[in-house]
Amino acid sequence: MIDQTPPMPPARQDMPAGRHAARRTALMTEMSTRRRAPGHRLLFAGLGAAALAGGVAAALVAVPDAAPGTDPDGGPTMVVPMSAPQVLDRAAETAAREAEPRPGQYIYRAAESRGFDTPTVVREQSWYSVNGKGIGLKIEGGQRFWVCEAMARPAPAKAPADCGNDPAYRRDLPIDVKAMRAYLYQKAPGPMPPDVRAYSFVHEIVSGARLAPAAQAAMFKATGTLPGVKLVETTKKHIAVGQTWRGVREELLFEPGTYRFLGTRTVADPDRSFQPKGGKDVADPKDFSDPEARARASKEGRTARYGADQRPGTPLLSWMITDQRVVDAIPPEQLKKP
Amino acid sequence: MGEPNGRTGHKQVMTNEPPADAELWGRARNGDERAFGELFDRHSRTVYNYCFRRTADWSAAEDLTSVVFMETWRRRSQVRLSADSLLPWLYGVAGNVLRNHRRSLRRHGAALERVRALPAAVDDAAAAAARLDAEHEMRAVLDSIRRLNRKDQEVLALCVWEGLGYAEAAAALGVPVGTVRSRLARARKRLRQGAEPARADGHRRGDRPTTLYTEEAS
Repeated sequence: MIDQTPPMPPARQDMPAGRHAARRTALMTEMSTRRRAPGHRLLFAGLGAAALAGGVAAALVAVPDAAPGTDPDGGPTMVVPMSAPQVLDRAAETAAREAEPRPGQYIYRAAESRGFDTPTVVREQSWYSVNGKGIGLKIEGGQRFWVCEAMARPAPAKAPADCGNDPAYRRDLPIDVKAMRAYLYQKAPGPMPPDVRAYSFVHEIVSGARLAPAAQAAMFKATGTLPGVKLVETTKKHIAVGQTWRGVREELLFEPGTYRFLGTRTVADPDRSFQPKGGKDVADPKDFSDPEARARASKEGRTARYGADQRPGTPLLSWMITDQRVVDAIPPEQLKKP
Repeated sequence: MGEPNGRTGHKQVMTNEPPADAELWGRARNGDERAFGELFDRHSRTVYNYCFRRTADWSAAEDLTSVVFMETWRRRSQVRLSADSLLPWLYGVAGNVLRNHRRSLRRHGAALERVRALPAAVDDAAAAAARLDAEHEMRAVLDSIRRLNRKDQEVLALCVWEGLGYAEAAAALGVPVGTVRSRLARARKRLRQGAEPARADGHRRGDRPTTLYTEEAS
């Protein structure tokens, strides 16, 4: 049966009619709406209370009183009237005070992601080498990934002396506020209006990337200058700054008092007061090369962003840092696991 | 801003070479969905057929193809192009996804549910028959290489079926080129020996009927 040539498979085939388009559309949807790992509907506290707080501070935008759950701890504390730029300036000061770790050290971070349409909280832990020479480890949803770009699928036992990873902190970002603002407008991807694009880019970058203290400071300060960015709410747990467009508010969350960056969130919000100029709808039918996908997108009239049809105040996605610090190495017990 | 409008964009396509994977990936990595869509258009057929060749199941291959691209996007910070092509990386992801079949499907379960919910096309009887035939044929091929261990099967599939060079296969598998060469030689040798009935050569791993679906202990 088998001579010199190994058995060969039958000829390649295309996906069944329409399936390529369906798969492509699904992939695009995943990319544009779920930049973060999935999670589940979280009953965020304090939204209702924040609506009350909105009456106190002129700068606060009233949040629709539709919080699905209310936590007794979630109420407002001392609400100091502040604007979004003031909050972001303080956050920048806090970020800038962070000490630069030594090159041989590691940035450890633990974070949790949640999404309203998926039933689990995804926990991640990561250790990234500050100078990129050491092997990195990321544990996400119980799955372990070694990060060592010099080898495609590294095993820790065989980690080479230089893993060729990017440094733990992104070094490609400006550290000057003006330059950062220009960077955001120039580099932000997507067809949305430039002001939305720039802010979304901030949201995307800080949701996951590790920024050098100076870059993070510049980014927060620059964010304060972006149109449509408002102080949303102040609770015991966080101060939220956000921009609302097409039914969805993307928020940056900071710790009350310290203004330490806590994470990001997107929330359904029908507020239409911010009307940026330029750009296109998120999913322009013209963006689809495939006629079927184009017809479907056009039929659905995709002008709203994913999750905009949820009850106002529903948290759609969140990514919260639960722990972050500088450590000297990946803990040995983590290295030993298979 | 500064983006070409539809017309100039079209002109570019007419006069220039299609952008290289590296350029598209650079844009995709920065969040340009269209660039990633283009990479999907370019490589999904190859990935789909590779997944089919490892599973002999077209519908599984379809889901797996989605998962390969979603995984590539999810872990985009770690992606490395090899010789300016994303394909070796995609093969590598496909290998992982095939190994961790159930886990991959679980991770992307919600997304896959959404794709399946999209309206299905009218089934073409001839195409359906051709798919069924190919599944039978492929199952026989997989049966005939079952005596190889998983790693040797993988190298055989990449180098012989997919036509990858040693270097590309090495990049896809994350192993040195020499390893690819020796695994392939071993695979060929075993297949030749396999023409004889003797099977108790100690390599019982490959005897399992679901070699491709083993879940790695985590």
